[in-house]
Amino acid sequence: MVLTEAVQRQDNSKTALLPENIKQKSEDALVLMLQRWLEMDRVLDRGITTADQEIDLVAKFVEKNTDELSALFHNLIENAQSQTAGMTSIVESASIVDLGGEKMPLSDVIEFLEGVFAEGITNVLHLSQTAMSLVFALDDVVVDVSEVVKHIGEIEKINKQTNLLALNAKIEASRAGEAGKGFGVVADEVRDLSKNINGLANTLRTRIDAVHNGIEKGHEQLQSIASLDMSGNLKAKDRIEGMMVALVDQNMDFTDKLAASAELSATLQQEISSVIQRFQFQDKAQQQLDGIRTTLSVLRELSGTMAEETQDGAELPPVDDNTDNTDNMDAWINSIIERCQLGEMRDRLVQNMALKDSHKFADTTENAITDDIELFGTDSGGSHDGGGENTGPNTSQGTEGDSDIFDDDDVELF
Amino acid sequence: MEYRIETSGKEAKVIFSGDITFSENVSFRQLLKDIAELDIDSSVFDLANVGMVDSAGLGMFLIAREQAETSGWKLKVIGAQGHVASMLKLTKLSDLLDG
Repeated sequence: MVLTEAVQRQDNSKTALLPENIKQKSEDALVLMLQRWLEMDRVLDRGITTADQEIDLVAKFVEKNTDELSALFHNLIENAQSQTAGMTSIVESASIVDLGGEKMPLSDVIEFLEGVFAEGITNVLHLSQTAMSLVFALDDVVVDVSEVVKHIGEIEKINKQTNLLALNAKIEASRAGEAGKGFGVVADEVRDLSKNINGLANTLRTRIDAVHNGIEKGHEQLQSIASLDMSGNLKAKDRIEGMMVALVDQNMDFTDKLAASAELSATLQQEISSVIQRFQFQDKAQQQLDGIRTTLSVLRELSGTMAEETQDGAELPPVDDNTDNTDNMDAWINSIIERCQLGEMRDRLVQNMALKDSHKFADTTENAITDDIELFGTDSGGSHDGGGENTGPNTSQGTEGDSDIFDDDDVELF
Repeated sequence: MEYRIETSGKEAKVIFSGDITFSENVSFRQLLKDIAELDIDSSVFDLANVGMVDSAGLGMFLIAREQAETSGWKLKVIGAQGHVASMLKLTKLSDLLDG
């Protein structure tokens, strides 16, 4: 054999001293070991290939879910921005009153109302002043009217005397006979004149009485105009002022709270942006996984090269993936599969490593852990779905497609 | 309403008591006539003892102020309390009457 020759060449002096039976045993052991090494190379090749595929699946899983999370957080930022804009708009409009398109600050509205109320009070005051001026003027008229009445009395008194004088003149004219006829006519005319004056005086008195009555009525009317108890206005003003102050305070409180809410919303945006930046870990993880895959690939190449050299050098038959696995290979594959706790991953290990002999590991895969991932979402109230109550299979479909490869571990993602 | 006038130099101090309402218009007008006969450059209305004033009373204060401006003397209101002080504040007469 070529191997025997090589051994003899390398250490001919030592082997030469050994008995033939021992030499034969050593050669058989060496061939057996080399054969096992070739088998191990195949197992390593299959294992590294499977590991490479698993790393690829993990990379895709992380990338897909990172992208989805990033998109969700971007939506969250947009919503927070909309909320901030809404809050800002409310803050701006909270202190503004829209009067048919005219924007008026609340402080101006209050100032306007106070102005209207003050103007009303001022008008009442001026009305009272005018009314009292009229009262004073009417008092003067009453005095003047009293003087006129007094003068009418004087006229009546004079007229009465005139009438008596005319009557005496008439009597004297009658006594004078024919000579007093003319004088009697004059006395009659004087009496008629006196009657007319008396009638005129009566008319004047009647008219003056009417004027006096009119003044008294006017006096009463002016009293009703000028004399207002403004205690009600006083209370109303106090109450209006109180309401205005309360309204302004309430508005300021409202504005402060909205502003604080808008600030919180803005802070939330910044924090979410920070979270999105943290998602860059996925790029670094991808680079590290690529590094691992490259290292595994080199190891597989080195192992394969060594196996080819061993096969050629020792003239051993190749270990073909199309033939049945040896007992050694089954044992090694089994030790790998046994240590894998993830059901679906174990399935893939069986398929990729045992190849034609996959059926031998059927029982092993059936006994694998098949726990599902429990993804706890938040309900509308924002509370967590308690893990203790949720003992069934995967209740959330937060991941799809490639995420299925990890549906069987015992990781709980909150 | 009753009043008493105390003069001191060119100042006449009018001390009121009682209520100043419409029914007091005759007395108030007499007061204005009394002041008009004085040779003064200022008059002080002391309202410390006035319990109530209505719009007619306030109107008469304004007439007094008008007469002061016409006659060339200054009018000042002092001592208002309670309801009277509130009324002067409500109508802003405190400022108008140099109170």
